[in-house]
Amino acid sequence: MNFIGNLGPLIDGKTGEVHEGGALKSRIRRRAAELAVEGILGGDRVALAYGNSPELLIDLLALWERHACAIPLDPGLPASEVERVLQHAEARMLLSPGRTQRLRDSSRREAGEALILYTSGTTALPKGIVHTFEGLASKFRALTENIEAASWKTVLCLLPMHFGHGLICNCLWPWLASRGLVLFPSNDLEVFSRLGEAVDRYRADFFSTVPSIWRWVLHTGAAAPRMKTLKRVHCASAPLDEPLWEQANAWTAGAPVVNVYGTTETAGWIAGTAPGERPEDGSVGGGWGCEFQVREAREGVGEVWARTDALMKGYLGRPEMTAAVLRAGWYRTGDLGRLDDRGRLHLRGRLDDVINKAGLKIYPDDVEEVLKQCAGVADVCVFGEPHPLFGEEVAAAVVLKGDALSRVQSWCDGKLAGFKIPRKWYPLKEIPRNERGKVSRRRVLELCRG
Amino acid sequence: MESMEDRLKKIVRSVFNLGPSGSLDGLVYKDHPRWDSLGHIQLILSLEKEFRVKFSSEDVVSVRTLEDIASLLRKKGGQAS
Repeated sequence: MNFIGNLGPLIDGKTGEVHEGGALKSRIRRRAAELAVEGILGGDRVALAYGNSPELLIDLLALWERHACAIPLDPGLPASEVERVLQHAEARMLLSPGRTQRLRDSSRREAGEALILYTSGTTALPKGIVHTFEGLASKFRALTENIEAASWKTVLCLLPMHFGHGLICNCLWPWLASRGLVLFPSNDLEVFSRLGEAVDRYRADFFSTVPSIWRWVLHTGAAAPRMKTLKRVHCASAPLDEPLWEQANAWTAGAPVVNVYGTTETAGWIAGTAPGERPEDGSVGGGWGCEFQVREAREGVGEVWARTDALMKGYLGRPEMTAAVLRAGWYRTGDLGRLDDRGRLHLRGRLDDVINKAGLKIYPDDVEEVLKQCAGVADVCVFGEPHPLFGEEVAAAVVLKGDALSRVQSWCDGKLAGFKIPRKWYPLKEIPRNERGKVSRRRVLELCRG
Repeated sequence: MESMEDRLKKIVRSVFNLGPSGSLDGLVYKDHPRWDSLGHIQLILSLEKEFRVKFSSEDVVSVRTLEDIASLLRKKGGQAS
C-alpha cells in the first residue's frame, strides 16, 4: 500500500514553516532508511511521543514505509503510564523530538498492523486499539466517497493527534490525498482565540472540532473568519445540541457544521449529518462506509452495533475484551440510539459510565485504580459530573483514611494525566454499594450533588 | 471586606484543589499539572462568576500568572475591584 504518493504540504501553524509534499516524500524515505539501519522490520511496534507536529507524521509514514506499526502517544502522559504502554505494546523503540530510545532488540511482530491507539494506559491492563493498513485504507476510501471534499486545498488541525479523530480523520485522510495540512498545538486556547484569523491566514477549507471548542470560542467571542474560504466544519467526539449547532453555523457564516459520529475502534468517523441538516433528537445522520443495527431495543432505543471494513483488529493482548465487543464482523459500540425510518442514526447516551470531558474519554475504573493506591484513600468512586463547557467533569467521592483531602489531591499529580485528575471531590463516610457490593455511580452522583 | 486578591486566591485554590495552606507563589499557567488548558478554562469561568466580569478571547490568553489576573481584574473594575 502506497500512502505517500499524493502528500500535500505540511504547515506548522505556530511557526508558519512549510514542508512541501515532494520534499516530505524524500524526507520520509530517508527516515525510513534510518529506521532500517536501526533494525526496524515489518510489523515492529514503535512509539511516537511528539504531540502535534510535522515530525509525528513524518516518522509515522516512515514506519509505514517499513510496514512497521506506529503508536502515537499523548506527550502529556505521566512517565508511569508511558512505561506501562511501552511494556504492554512490546514497543521496540520510542521516538520523540531529537531522541531515539531503543527499548528492546526484538519484539513480537504482527504483519499488517499499522497503528495502535491507546485510549487508556493508567491501569495494569492498558487498552490499545489495533488498526491494520487494510482497515485504514478502507477508512480513507469511505471518507472520500461520503464527504464532498474535491475542492478542498487546505485543512486545519486543532485536535490532539494521538486520537483517531484528530490523527486519522482530520489529518491523515486529507493530507494523504494531497490537501495542505496546518498543524496547531492541540487544545490550545491561543489558537481557539484566533481561530477566525487562522482560517483566513491559511484560506482554510475545513477543520474538525469537538462541542467544547465551540462552547469556548463562542463564550469568549473569538472573532469569526472575515473571508469566505471555509467549505465545511465537523463536530464529533461528544453530543452536539441544536442551539450550539446553530451558533456554530452562524460563526462559520455559510460553511455547514456537520454533526459526526465515530469511535476509535472504527478508526474515527462512521456517520454524519448532511450539510445543513440539524442534529435534531441526537441525529448523527447516515453511515459513511458503515452499517448500523440497534439491538435489544425498547421503544426503538437500544445498543448501537456497527459494521465497517475499517473496524479495529482488536484490543492488543486482550482477547476477552475484544471478543466482548466484536461479533461476526459487528462492533458493539456501547452507545444507545435508534434508527429512524430513513435509516439515520440518533444517539441517546452511553450504556457504560465512561466520562466524556471535552471529547476526551476517561474510564472511571482507571482513575479509581490509581486512587486506591494512595495510602490516604480507604474507598473511592469516580464518576462524570455535568459541566457547562466540557460536557462532563471528572469527580471523585472518597472515604479518607485520616489524610487531609489536599494530600490525596496532590498525590495524583504525576500519576494521572492532567485531564483525568478529578477536579470535584466529595469526602464521604462510605461509598454506597448494593447487596452484591457493586457501586452505582449514578447513585453516588445523586448523593454528592444533593 | 475581603480584598480582591484574597478572593482571587480563594478561587485559584478551589479550582486547582490546592488546599488552604499550600503556597501560590510562582504558579504559572502550563507550568503546574492542574493549570493546563482545561484548568485555565475552569479558572476563567469561576472568575467570571465570582467577579461578574467577562473576559474576551484576548484577555483569556494574556493572563499566565495570578499577578496578571489581578491586574486584569483591576482594569475591569466593577465587582472586580
